[in-house]
Amino acid sequence: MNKVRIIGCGNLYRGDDAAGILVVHRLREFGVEAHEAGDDMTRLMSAWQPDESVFLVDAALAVAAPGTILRFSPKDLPRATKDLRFSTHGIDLAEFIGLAGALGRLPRELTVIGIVGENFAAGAKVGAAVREAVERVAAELASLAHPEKATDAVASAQA
Amino acid sequence: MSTVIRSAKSASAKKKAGKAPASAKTAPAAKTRTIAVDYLPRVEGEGAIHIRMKGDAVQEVKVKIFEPPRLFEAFLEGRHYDEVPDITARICGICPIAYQMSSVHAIERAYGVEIDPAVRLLRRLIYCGEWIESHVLHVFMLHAPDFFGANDVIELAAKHEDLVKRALELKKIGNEIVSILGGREIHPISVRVGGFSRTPRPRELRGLAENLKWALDAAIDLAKFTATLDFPDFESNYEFVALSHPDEYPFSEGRVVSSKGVDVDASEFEDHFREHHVAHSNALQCSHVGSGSYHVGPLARFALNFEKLSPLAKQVARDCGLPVPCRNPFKSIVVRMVETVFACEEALRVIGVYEPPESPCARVKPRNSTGWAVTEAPRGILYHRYQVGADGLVKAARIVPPTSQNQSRMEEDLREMIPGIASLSDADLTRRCEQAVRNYDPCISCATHFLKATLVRE
Repeated sequence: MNKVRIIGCGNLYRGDDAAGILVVHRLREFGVEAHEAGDDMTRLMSAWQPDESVFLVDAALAVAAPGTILRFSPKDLPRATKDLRFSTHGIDLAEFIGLAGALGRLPRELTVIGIVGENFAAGAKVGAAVREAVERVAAELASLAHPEKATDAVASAQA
Repeated sequence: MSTVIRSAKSASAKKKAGKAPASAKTAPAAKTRTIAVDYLPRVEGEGAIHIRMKGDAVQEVKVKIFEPPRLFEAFLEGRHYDEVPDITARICGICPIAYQMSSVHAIERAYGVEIDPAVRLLRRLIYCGEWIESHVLHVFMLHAPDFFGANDVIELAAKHEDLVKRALELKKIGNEIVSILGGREIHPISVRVGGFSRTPRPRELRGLAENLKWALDAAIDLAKFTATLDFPDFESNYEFVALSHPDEYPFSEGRVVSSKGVDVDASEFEDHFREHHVAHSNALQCSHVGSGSYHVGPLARFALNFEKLSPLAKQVARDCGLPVPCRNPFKSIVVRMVETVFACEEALRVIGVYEPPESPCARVKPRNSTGWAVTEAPRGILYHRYQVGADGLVKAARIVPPTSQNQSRMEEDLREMIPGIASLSDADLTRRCEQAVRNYDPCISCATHFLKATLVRE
C-alpha cells in the first residue's frame, strides 16, 4: 500500500472553515499523523511525495446541507477558475490542483474531501453538522491510514 | 476554505447581473454599459466591482471589499497579550507575519518593552521571507496571467512551464525563512511580544544562505522578465504613503510619510488617516484628512524610499526601466520583483551578521497603556492600535489593513482609466478593470474569496 498522507486546509478562526484543521486535530488525538495547511495552497506542492496517496480535507461552499461530505479526484474537482480568477490574494484549491497537474507535481493518488460549511465569519463557532462531519471524516481517514488505531475513532464518530 | 461548488451560484450571479440594466433603461440617449462583478452570498471575504457607464463616460464606480480584520478586532478584546500574535497571524494566510509584527510592536510600545538588537534582526529576516513569498505568489500566480491574456496560472503554466516552476521555487525559499523563524509554516507561532519563543542558532540560518543566493539570481532574472511585459498606458498623480526609516528600506519601523508632506509617528496615524463608511460596502474606506484617497504598497515604498534600496536593487530597477517615482500602477508587478531582489539580499545580509540574543524574549511588565504600530505588509502599510491593561488583557484593538486604505484609490483608478479604454470590447474592458484592481494585490478576503465577473451591455 502507498504511504497515506492526510492534509487539512482552512482557518480555525473562521467558523466552519476550520473543518479541515479540526479533522487533523482529531486524527492526532487518535495517534494518526496528519498535517495542517493554511490557505496558501502553493505550499502543498512540496508537502507531498509523488508516490503517496494524499487525502486533502477542506471546508466547502456548495448547494448542499451543512455537514455534507463531498469527494473529488483531481479530474472531477470543479475548476470554476474563470469565476475565481479575481481571487487575487491566495490561490484557490481547485486552481492549485490544476496547476500541480499541469506541472506534473500531483501525487500518485489524490482525494479531496470537502465538508460543506455554512457560516464562515471570523470568530464564529463551528456548526453542529460540520462538527459531526469532522468526526465521520476523521474516523474514516484513521481507519484508512492506520486500521489498528481506528477503533477509538469509529466509536467516537458513532457516539 | 477554498473548495466551491458553484452551479447554482453562477445562476444567481447572472440573475443579479441581469437586473443592472433595468435601472439603466431610465437613462435616455447614450448607450449604457454596466460592468458588474457580483459577489456570492453566504461567504465572508467577498469582493465586488460595479461600474456603470453612459457612452464613454463613467457614471458610477463601486469597489466593495469585505474586511475580515473588522471582525477580528472584537475577537481580540479580552484576550491576553501573549495570545495576540497567534490570533492576528490567522487574519491572513498570506501575510501572517505583517499582522504579527504590527501587533507585537504596538503591544511592546504600550508596555515599554525594549527588544534585543538580534531579535530586531530576526524580525527583519522573517519579514524578508514574507515579502518573497507574498510578492512572488501575487506576481506569478495571480497577476502575470493578466499580462499573457491567460485566465489563470494553469493556462500560464501550460505555455510557460519553466517560468512558473522557477517562480514556485523562489516562493518556496520565502516559505523556508518563515518556517525556520516561525516554527510552524502556515501560521507562525513563535513570534512573541518581546521577541521569539525560541531563536535559531546561526548554523540553522546559514543553511538558508545557499538557497538565498540562488533566489537572488532568480529574482533578478524574473524582475527583468516582468519588465518586458506589455503595460497599459495609464498613470495617476497619487499621494503615496509609506513608512520611512532614516537608514533602511522599511519593514517594521519608521515614520509614516507621504509624497504630499505627511510626516507623522504611528501614534498620530488616526489623526491624519480616517476610515469612513461608504453606503455601497461593508468595508470601511480610508482617506487622508483634507486630501482624499491615497496609495499604499510597493509603488509608494519605492517612490518614498528608493534611496534606501541596496545598490543592486537600485540597479535592477534601472535595468527594468522603472522611473522614480513610478506612477503606472500596472508596473507594480515590476516593483514587487525589485523588492523581492532587495528582500533576498537583505535576508543574506542578516544571516551573515546574526548572533543569537542572550535571551530570545525580553521581560514584559504589563501596565495600563496604549500602543501603536505601523509596519509594511507586502501590499502596504498595516496599522494596529491596542489599549492594554495591567492585567495583560486587551481592552480595545484597532486594525487598519492596507486594502481598506487602497480601496478608494482603486475606485479612482477605474474612474480615471475607463474613459481612455471605453472603445475596448466588453470582455476586454472587464478584464482590464479586474487587472487594475489586481494591481493593488488586494486582500479581498485573506482566505476565502469568491467573485463572479459579468458584463452587461444595453
